[in-house]
Amino acid sequence: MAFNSIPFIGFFGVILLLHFLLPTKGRWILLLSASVLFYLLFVPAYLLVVATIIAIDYVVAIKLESPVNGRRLKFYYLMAIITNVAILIFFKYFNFLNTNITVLLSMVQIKNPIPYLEFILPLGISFSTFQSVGYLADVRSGKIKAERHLGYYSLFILFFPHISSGPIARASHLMPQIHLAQTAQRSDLAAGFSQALLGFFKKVVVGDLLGNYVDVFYRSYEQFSGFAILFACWIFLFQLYADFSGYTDIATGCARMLGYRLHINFSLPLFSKTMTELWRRWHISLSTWLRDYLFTPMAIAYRDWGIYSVVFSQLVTFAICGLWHGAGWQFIIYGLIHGVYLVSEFLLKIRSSFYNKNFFRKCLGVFITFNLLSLSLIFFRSPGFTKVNSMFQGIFTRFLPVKVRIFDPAFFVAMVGVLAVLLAIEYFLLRDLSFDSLYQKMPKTLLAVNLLLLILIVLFGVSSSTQFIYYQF
Amino acid sequence: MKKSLTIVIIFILAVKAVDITVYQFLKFLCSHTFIGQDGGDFNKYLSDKNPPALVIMGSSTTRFQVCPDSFPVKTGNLARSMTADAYQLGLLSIMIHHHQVPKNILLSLWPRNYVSAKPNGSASEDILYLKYYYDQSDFVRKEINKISYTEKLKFFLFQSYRFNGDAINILKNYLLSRNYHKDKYFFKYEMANTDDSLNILRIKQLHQQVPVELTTGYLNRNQTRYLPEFIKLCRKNDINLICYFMPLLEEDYNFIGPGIQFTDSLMASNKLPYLKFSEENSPELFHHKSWWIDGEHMNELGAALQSNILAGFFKQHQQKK
Repeated sequence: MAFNSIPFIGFFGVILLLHFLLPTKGRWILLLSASVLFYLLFVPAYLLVVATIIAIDYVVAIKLESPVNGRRLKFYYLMAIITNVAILIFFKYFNFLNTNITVLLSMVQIKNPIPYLEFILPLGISFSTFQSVGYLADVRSGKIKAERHLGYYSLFILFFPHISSGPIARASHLMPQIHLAQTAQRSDLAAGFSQALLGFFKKVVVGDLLGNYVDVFYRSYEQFSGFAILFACWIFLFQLYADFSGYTDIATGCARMLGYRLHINFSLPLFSKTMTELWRRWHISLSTWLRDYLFTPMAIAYRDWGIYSVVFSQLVTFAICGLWHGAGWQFIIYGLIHGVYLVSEFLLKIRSSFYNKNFFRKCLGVFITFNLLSLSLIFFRSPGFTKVNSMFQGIFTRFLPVKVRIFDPAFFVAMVGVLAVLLAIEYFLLRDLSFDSLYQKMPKTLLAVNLLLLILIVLFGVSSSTQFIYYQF
Repeated sequence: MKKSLTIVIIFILAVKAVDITVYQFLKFLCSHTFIGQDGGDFNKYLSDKNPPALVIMGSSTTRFQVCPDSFPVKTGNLARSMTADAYQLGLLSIMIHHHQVPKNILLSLWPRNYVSAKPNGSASEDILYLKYYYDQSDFVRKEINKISYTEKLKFFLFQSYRFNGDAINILKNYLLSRNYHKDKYFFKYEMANTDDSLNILRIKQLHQQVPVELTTGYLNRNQTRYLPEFIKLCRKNDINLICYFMPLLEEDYNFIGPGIQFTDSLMASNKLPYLKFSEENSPELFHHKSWWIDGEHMNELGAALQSNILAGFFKQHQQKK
């Protein structure tokens, strides 16, 4: 059940109503049942997979708090982590690994006997695995206490607003809210609704509209000039941002209406002036997870290497970040490119403060960062290296078109128009005009904004509900 | 609770009010729009007191390549980009509903539309381009409702959904319509671009790098059901139907084989005039790479010749009637 579908709106409406009618104590049962149903509607059998992970992590986390036998506890901890990661590897990377084995064996002329497996990825497995591993690591380091209530812990993992594509929740943030099961205030309802509506607008108007252009372009990129290819890369970046941040807005908005606050995942990342700043503003729940559970422990472990410990840890972290996005070499390269970006900025001491000195520098920083990100996304969007190669060749060998041909000017106007609306809304939201403050200070303006978003969705929304890009991860 | 409920009711009423206002506004603009493939041209046709004797139907390859002025009778090009047979059948059903049927129809066919890579291919959703006529045509309504129950719900909930995806075009075409030529149907070729021949070269080079799979497609039953119905309606309403297989520079004829067989046999069994553009019968079209924008679309140089060939073919078959 996709968030951008009418069945989901109906499903959520019923859950919201029941949530208000039920007493506080019974709400977790409703939310857990709804989350299980949400999961069952995907591939029912996979509920067994996620239930197994939940059971293992739940038991191991409690064991980790026992004061005796440190070595055995370490073993349990490692086994739990390995189980989580192994399940992810099996479902997500089996065929990728198998392909590479086939290639390697073919070099020595041996036929690979391992068959390829065809299955759909369990819903949000990349997100829930990171969430579980983070939880275990936090319990082991003593940052949080192990959850004793299996229902609460299951809800923490399965909570339907975040199960399919995050934000990756931290137990320290979400678990207390599950325990409290607070009733959403009117301001929560208003702000949550507005945020979810903004998410719908981002997805079905901006993301899907731009997606139509990007799809056409990627199907026949060979007939375009280098500038047009670069332009399509920019548009894909906007599409990806609208799609993913739109999903996040729907997730956080729905959770807010139920009385829960999820992590902020985006903070106007397209206005970042350096790549380091970008990763502080883009997919924040993933970047902070990677920083806390991968980069920092690795950099500390190899601190004897001096500056190289940072370089090494950064590259490994981003290679894993790339691989997390998808099973393919192009994703690893995508990650490594970002690793190289960040390492270069670190070594060359390029800081946002350099660009903050005046308006021109700010624009320059944004322009460079925007283009570096756009170019790296060619690896992210292209299915194979032939296409990647042709596109880079196009950009660098035939950049200027003799004459620009815009097939549908009205479509072009719509594309630019919705982007302008999106950026304007984001800009105002960041300038402290949050939905909360609008509700408190200018409720009529909030009503007008909501009406505008709704009518734009009706008039410009792409009516066939296409799936979110990050759903596949 | 009471206040929350009041807010919800106020919001729903406000939404409804805005929806109806936007719908009425766009409806007004639409009824005064007489240019454009998003409904303006068709609007003009339906309100034309002296309607064209020939109507041209098809997708983008027809829209920008078949010039109405090339034909010996009053002609209107009602083709729309990205459409297939469901849309064309929808157009015809609305014409019949409005008692405004042409004497002749020139219909472009693309056998690729009848073929899918997998068995049981899905139906295209081009009927959604006729959303505006949801309340005016049974065929359009039924076809849209078939897509999914959620489509039905969207039409029920929002009046302005009938203009989904078309608002900007309507506004643009409304402004352009103020100076429109009352007797002529709007048409403009795609201008030639010096990059065009280079494009073809690049496409060819790429196809050499990535060999086209030599697989045959499957006949898509969800797409083949419209054309027989279209022919039947033409016959019933005494319309002289002429079809043509559009010229294609780059096409995987092996893949679209079942689609070609389908059109060939349908045309033969109904004894319809059918022109199949090919390198054999129109070599000049295929030899000038600079006449093509890509593997499917021609610019003004090629399209002008194609229009003349079609006009000649029409002349032969109109005279026979």
